[in-house]
Amino acid sequence: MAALKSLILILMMAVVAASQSKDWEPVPQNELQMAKPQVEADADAEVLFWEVRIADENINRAGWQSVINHHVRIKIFTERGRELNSKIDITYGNLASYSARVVVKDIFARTIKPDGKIIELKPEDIFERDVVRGNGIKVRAKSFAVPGIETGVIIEYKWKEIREDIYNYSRLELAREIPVQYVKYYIRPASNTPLGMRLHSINTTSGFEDEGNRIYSTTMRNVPAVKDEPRMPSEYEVKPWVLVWYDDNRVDQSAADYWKERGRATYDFYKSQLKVNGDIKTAAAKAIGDASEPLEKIRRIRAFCLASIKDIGDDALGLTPDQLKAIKPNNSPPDALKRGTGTWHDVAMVFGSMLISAGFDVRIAGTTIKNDAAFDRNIANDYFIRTVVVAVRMESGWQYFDLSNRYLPFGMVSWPIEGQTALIYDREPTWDTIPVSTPEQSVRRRNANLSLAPDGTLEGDVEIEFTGHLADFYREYADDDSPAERENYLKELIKGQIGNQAEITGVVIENLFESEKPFRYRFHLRVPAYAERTGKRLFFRPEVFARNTSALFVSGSRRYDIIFQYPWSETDEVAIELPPGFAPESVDAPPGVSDVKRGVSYTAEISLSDDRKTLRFKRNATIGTNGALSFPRSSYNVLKGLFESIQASDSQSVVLREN
Amino acid sequence: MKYKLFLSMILVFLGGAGQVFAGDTPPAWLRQAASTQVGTYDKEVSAVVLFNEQQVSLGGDGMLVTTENHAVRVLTREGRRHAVATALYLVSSGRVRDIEGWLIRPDGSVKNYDKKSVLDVISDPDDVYNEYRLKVIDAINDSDTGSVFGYTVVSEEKPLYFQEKWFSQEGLPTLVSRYSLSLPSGWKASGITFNHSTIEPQVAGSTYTWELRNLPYIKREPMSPSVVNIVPWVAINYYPEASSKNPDKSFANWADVARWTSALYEPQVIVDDAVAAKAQELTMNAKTELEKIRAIAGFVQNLQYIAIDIGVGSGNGYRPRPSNLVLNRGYGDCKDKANLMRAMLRSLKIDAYPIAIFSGDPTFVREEWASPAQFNHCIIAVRISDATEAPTVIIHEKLGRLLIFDATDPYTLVGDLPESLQGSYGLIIAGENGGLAKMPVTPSESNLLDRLIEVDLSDDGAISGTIKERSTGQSSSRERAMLRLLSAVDYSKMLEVWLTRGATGAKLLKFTPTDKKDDLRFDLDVEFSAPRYGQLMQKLLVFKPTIVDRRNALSLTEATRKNPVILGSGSVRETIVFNLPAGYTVDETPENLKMDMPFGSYSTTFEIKDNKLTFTRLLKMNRSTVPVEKYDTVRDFYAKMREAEQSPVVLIKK
Repeated sequence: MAALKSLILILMMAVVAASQSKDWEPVPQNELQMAKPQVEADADAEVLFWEVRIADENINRAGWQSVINHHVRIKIFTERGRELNSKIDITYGNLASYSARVVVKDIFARTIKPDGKIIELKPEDIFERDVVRGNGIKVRAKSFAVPGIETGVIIEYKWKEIREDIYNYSRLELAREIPVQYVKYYIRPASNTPLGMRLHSINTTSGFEDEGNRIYSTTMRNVPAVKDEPRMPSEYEVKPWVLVWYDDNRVDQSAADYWKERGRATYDFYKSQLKVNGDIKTAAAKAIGDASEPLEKIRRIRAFCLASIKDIGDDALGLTPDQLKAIKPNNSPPDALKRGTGTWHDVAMVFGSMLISAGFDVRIAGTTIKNDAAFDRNIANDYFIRTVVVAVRMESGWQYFDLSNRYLPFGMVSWPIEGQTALIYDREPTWDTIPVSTPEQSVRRRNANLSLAPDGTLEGDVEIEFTGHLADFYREYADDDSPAERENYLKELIKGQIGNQAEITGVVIENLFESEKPFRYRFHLRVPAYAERTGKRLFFRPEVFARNTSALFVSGSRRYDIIFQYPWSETDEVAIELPPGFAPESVDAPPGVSDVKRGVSYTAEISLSDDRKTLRFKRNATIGTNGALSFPRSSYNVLKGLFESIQASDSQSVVLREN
Repeated sequence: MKYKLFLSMILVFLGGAGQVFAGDTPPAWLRQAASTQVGTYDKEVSAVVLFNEQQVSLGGDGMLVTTENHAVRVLTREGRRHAVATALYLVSSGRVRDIEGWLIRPDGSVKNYDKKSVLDVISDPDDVYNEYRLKVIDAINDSDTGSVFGYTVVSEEKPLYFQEKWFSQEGLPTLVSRYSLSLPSGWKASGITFNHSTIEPQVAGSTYTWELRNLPYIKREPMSPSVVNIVPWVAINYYPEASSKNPDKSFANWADVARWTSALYEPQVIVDDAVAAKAQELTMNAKTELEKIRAIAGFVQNLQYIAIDIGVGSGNGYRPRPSNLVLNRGYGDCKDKANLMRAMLRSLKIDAYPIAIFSGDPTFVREEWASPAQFNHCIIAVRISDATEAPTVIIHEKLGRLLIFDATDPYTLVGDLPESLQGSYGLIIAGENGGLAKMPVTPSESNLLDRLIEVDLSDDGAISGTIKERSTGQSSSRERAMLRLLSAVDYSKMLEVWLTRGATGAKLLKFTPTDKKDDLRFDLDVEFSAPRYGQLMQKLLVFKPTIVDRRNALSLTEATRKNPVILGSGSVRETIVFNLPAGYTVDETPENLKMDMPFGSYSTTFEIKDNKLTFTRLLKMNRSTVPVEKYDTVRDFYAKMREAEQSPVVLIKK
């Protein structure tokens, strides 16, 4: 009976699949004659028509399957548009990107010239390629060159895709890298399942319409192309798309009830995970030692966990695939403690268990992350809850500890979860927001003691250190490099800031793995021809490290909002011994910059020693004060102006005159 | 390079997916290589090749069987990337019989990578289809400092011709590098050595062995010759003794190569009605020979570049697709484009010949070795009358005046040639009349960027004004490429970055790029302003006279160098007129500079007249290879240029 049912379903899907045929609908005359893009004036090519028909099924024995018919029609406006659309590769096989096995068939394509002449793609011009094969992997591609493609033509192609063993969640893209005049998705949910299909439209108000026969559709018109801009939000926060998933068919359950139930169930799960036994108690007591303050106790337990249990996901350990395979999974926190290895999640569980044994009130909290679409609590699904932190109840409220990051000092969490929504799993779950760090927690401090020679050569010793998120970035970058690579990285970094002629020697790197201390570089710097000479004067920038840096924002226009990952501050102190025979002619402090509302401030001071032989330059900048990290597009020009002012101040020169 | 990048992506994607069997014993050659003591190397040397051997054997069945044994010791963590075995093969005429690898860890334990660990990947993901594939063993993630990775590859192929190349190293220091060729009795081999004194083979019967030891590390230096022009290599010809001249598979000279290649090209020139009609349509308004050539060239140049490599083993790598098919499909590769252009010109009674050439390094093709294996690109020579003149004309002793043109480069117009091809040897495929010829080199004056900037300088340091650029030759090709490769938004951003790099906070007010193809020119007009260009310092107003393209970094900074410096050809002429603010007078300007060297010249001048400051800079570079002994002269030349462009002008309040 089951087999018969499966057969019927397969036949039904075959009927859907059959809709992908070589028959083309006539292209409207206005599209043939179209000379300019409609959605974006500067577009190289524009999608005129984009239609996707999806039919899901849960077939007995065969499993979940999606049959997807794609059809796209594109107008080519420029040579660049022609180049970018001239070759089509459709991959299939075992594709990790879909977590599915994909079959592709029924490819048809044609080119329509402005005079209506049609050039069909010949079947023999479609090439099948094994992109990768071996060791159980087979990724293939069907590729073809679009015949007769040139500016002014319309290209049109369609194909059928069958995804088997699909992952529950899928994302329907409504925007592309070129503008889209019209896009429509038809979707028919699987019928042979107790689960119900859920659709969540993001960055679009286009809902789904019932087309009858259990088919639903969503349509968008005039969708701009997805672009890249510096400091923009996540792509999924700005472009339109739809999240599709299957869930328990409990349409009567409110979002609030869903989260309550989910929070309780997850609490129960973690309660069983946070095991306290004698070993945990002993370890906690040993780690705490003579500490009496609660925060100090937590600090010591965290330090103990990070030191005692190696995170097998840490690339700095350099574990080979065989070594990783040989590591047995831990069943409980005592297990991880005993073995001294585990995932970061294991470390978090040991940390939580030790805190409980020390009398702390501990919960696990699920959080969203910054790199995806904005979280909507009214949607009854935890897809966007991506990671967990350990929450500890303190007098001031919940405090969060992120054991996934070893390079941050105590009390800080990874930047992607700062300011994010957290669900504290409990019998009565509660929502909270993870605090954002302050600029003082992520500091770049640069000190230099230099001397300037009459020929303009600058030379001396430099120390650069980073704390907080900045240190995390540099530590993560350097942790799996060799000493030579680390030194090379620093050289490139400094040359990028000062110029290629900078010579960096005697490099010392300190506190690479000691997260409670600043990550520090020390080195000797020599920059030939640093100061410029005109006649009897020498000119140089006292802000040595910004000599060659470029503006943060350059473009005169902006499409998306502006986002900084985390707040930070910068402190520079530079002492420059002036060359003999020269005296300062113009030594003015660069103007300061301040915008309290946007959390940006900059001050600079220049002074001369009493004997006027040494110039001292001090500079302080903070960005993101009071959590000001996200700005609407309308603030772009103001923000750009602020950073240009900082750059101009950093560029200000001092003039010396030969006696 | 492209395929290496793709390969690394694949390896990352697969993340050490290979199945590994521990405990197998490595072969004796690998155990011996692994026991070799290595010396002390500079810390930038990440690995050392202990042993690199190719044993090539020509069988009675005409198949060439190659056994490659290779061992590398990883010296640093970065050196792990060398723990990879790759074997390139051609689906249509060859195969990899066997590939196996071993990793000997510092503790002496061994991992064996057998056929289940092997991935088979496409060699060029950009091609619609390409018969070349790669078999890969990836031991990167398994290896670490001190590991020795070795592999053996046994492959076979049916050679298209009787020639081989042996590159002794790829850049890493190499302790032993060996190539041996075993031939059937009655066969002989000979070699030509490049980048090294002659390497004589050891001959035992009909087996020839070339060997080098203790090859040093090839340091990567900016403006350096390509690695193939640094590492020692041997070009090998082999042939049956009875007949030293085998027109099908052996080449005694370039005329032989030209005949062989012509046989592959000639039948593909098909002038049917469609080809002739298209040629007529394109040249309908052309009055002169040059106009006709330009019309055809423009069409072919703008056909979509698509490579489909099928039947390479039977010569299709050297054979274009039929011209009528390429016109019908509307796309093709370099051979296809040159061939279609040839067919269209033939329909207009204009003769043309394909030229096989190497793209990427004009010094790559060596005259001493007559071989089609030296080329990777195809351009065209058009036979022209005396009435047609252009900088890219060569005089051929048999074919007369030939206009050289690259129908694949969409940015370089008729009358110019991509810089990477200028001065290179190319094979003119013209049957009995063909042979090797030197491609033209355009004078640096014809590759000119002429820029005029006029700005008003305010007493608060702000500037506003215009930039007018007129580019010719390869300068115009670069501008044309930029306009076409970047989207309109990105092109505008590129100009904004260009301006703000020299002037903080500069605003791009208006820009007009104009591609004047008929004049072989590209114009760019820009209007801009910069609020903080000059710096006010009490009574002084200080500003840099060079606004855009100000040299603030140097590529030649090292005190010493190991390789010659390769310099391209071109010239820049810039005039900047500053209208000075009222109430200020010029206190100091940088000194005028004049440098004249064999490889180039540079000069700056300042002139003050009617409250205008006019600054000019002229740069002319000649295509040159500067020997290592004269490295200082080039480094100082660029350092002085940089200083000259950084030094400011000082105005003082009256």
